[in-house]
Amino acid sequence: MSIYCRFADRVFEINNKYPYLESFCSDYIIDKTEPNYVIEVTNEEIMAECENEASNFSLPYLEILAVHRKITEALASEDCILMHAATIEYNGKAYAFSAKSGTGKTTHIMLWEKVFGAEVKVINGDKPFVRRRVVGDRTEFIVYGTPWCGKEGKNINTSATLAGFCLLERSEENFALKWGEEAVPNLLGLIHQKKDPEYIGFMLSFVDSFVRNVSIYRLGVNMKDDAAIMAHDALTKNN
Amino acid sequence: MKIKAGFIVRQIGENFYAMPITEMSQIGNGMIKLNETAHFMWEKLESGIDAEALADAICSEYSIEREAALKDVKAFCAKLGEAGVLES
Repeated sequence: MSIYCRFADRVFEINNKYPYLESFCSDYIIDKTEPNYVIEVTNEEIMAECENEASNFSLPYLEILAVHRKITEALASEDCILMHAATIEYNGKAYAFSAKSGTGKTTHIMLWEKVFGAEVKVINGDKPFVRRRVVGDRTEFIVYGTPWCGKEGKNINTSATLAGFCLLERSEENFALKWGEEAVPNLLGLIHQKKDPEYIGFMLSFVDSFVRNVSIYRLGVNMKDDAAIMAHDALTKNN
Repeated sequence: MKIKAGFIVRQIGENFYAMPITEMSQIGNGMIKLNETAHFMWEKLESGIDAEALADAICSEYSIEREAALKDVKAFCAKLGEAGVLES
């Protein structure tokens, strides 16, 4: 079996073992064309995913995890990194929300959808690819939808320039604090890890550009509509 | 004293960060944040140096009393020792 998909502006030929991958990636499938990368995973690589996930997942599901890992590692050579953050598009720009599991980042983006309606689109509910791009004297970060997007399955095959990045925490009172380098330990924890010197060097350089060029906020949020309104006002006031 | 091999050090913003290539460090995800002075000490420790010589090096680079420099060296090396990244 073989499919062609476009992820983060690159063409991947994926030679899959299980048909589930084809339905999983259906929104990203393109006509056969010259691929940038050919992805194929071995049975050993599929089984290795058991170590990272609960062991009761099916082989077709583990295959999509193994394929995701290979795509992630291929894109790392092109200034593109996997980041754990729920990302929305609003007024043509991307805003990313990150938090420890269980803090409520999905709940928070659902509040945005509730308050701002159809203007809000979830690009990727969990793990978008983020590409660093230098345009003249500016460095910008482009966020991409992929089908690997968390259990709610929220994603769109689109991309947008990142205009704000938030580290969420629960709080009775809503607040937004501008953050800079203080976010580095958190950011490093949100990025796909690989114990490889070249990759680690790339990851550190990526985070350095990220803190220099992206507006980063520490957001305290409750579960009420006001939380989305406060976050919206803080994130969009300079854009 | 010497820093064990296997770290990548890069500047991010104002500080430097050392990330282990292996799992040897016991601190969090293994990342060690270094301010300017700590980075200076780290670089010296990469090629191996004792506490006294390191305190001398700090004094010649920064305007600091030798006693205070030695105290800083000992505190920094104690932290690195706890993290398991120093070898004798």
